[in-house]
Amino acid sequence: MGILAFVLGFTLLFFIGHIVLHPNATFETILIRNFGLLAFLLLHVILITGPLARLNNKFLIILYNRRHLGVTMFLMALIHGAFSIMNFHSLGDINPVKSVFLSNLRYDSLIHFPFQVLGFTALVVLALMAVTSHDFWLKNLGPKLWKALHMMVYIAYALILLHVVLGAVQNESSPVFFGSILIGFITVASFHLIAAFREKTVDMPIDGTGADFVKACMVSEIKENRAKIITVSGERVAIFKYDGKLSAVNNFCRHQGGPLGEGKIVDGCITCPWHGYQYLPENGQSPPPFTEKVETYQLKLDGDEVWIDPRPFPEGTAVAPIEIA
Amino acid sequence: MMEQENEFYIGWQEHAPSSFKSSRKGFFIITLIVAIIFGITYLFIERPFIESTFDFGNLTELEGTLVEYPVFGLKTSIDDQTVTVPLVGFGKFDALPVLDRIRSEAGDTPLEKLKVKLRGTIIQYRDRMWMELTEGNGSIIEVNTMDHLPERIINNKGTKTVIGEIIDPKCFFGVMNPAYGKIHKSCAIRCISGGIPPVLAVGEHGEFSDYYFLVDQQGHSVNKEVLAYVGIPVSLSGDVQQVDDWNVIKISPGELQTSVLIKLDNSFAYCF
Repeated sequence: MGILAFVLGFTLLFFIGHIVLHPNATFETILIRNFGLLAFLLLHVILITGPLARLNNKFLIILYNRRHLGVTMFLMALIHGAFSIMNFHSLGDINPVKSVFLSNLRYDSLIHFPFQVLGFTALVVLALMAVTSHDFWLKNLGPKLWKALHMMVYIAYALILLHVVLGAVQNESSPVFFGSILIGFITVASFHLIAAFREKTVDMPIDGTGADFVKACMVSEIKENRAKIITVSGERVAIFKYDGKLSAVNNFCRHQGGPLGEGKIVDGCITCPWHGYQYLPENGQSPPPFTEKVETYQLKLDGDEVWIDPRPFPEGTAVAPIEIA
Repeated sequence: MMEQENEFYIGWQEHAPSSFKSSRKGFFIITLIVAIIFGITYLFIERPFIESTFDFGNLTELEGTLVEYPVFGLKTSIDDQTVTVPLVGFGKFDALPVLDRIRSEAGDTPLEKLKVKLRGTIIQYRDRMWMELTEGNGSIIEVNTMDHLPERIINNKGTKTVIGEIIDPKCFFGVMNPAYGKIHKSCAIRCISGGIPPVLAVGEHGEFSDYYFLVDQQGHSVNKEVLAYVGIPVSLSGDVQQVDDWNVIKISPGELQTSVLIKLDNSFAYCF
């Protein structure tokens, strides 16, 4: 509802602004520009949401709306693309889609490059993501493939940046256009870099090659009903403390790859912070009737020190939790 | 503070803890402010739109004599002034099928001895008027023969070098706005490829002051030959002619590759 109000409000403002300040602008030009701008803005919001939620879990609430934002953004981009093709490429001597690729043939030049081809390709990528956004595809493709497919948003972003810089920006004279795009890019890149850096420092990798057990953390570092995430032998592992016990599972939620270690024990289950998928800490299995499973790990205590066997048990293997004295 | 740290929210839960709700609210407000600032800034910094019109949905009848050179047009009187209204077809096409139909109706009578009434959609920018023969052959209302040839003004103005952009005049004079530069390049290529006569608009970055039809030395169309140079700043030389109220520049298509100097290297807009 909020997204729809945002889109309608922006569109209304943009149209009224043109009627007042640019009365000679044609309806289709305003429409194309409005939805292009909206899609571009929403794409930045979508890209910022992920790292922002990693930096502060209070922003996870926005992550739940990311799929809706993504589909809305695709629809905005689709209106922009469809009207552009109708406007610039239809009613001519060749098929409009062919015209996108064959009208401007300066593929050999960066300055003259047919920028509409970049936008069209980005739209195809976004369409693929929007179509597969439903859980049906997540279940059928598997979380890893699905996640990889949806990481293509970064390819779409790169294509859209080039589409805008080699298209609209070249037709305008104000450096503010290029400056805004640069600020947008820097913002997105900064959030990602800060989140990655913080994750790297919080989550120092432990080399567990060849060892039976390696030191993971102190019991006191883990809050009640919460977890400490460590990286051991290249895998992220979440060590949970609950009811005076400790259990360790793979950090990667089988739903959408959410960080289980940033979740909480709710009703005796590890609950993923992204979409609430649940797993029993003692065996890594989702409670029936659900069937998702994650790998489990053997822990041991040495005083206040928590030690972990870096070799994972197969997904869903029961491992007795260790009691905290 | 501790309570806030311990708060946890799952997307499907009906009520979110207060700290989550305020994060969402803050994020939404910031996004809204950024969007409003960006939208308003955009309105103030985008290039102004020229005062061109396309009288979409309204058909107008014009009466006059036909001309074939430099392009198919109708010489008519508007507000006591004689003007040549170039004629184009529906979509991204020329109006030559209509011309052929008139020719077949006229038999042996030279085209320029015909007085016709045509109906179409007016395209206008300042004192330049064009007409789209929207209904194709249905645009022909009347065809009559005159007993004399209409007077034409043709003045040779010598060789000139002009700098500007090759545009498709149908879009430029009103169907689209703006209709120049890289964004419109593909559309202009399609229009010119479809037979709309190419025009060199003198000036750059949307500030154009004069217009020249492009033809070859024999006065024939150069549509195919100029396609690669459409929508970019160009400088070209040729013999300039005034034909009634339009200017024409005669270029040599065979030498186009060398006579057209692409001036991009000096253009700020193309280097950002």
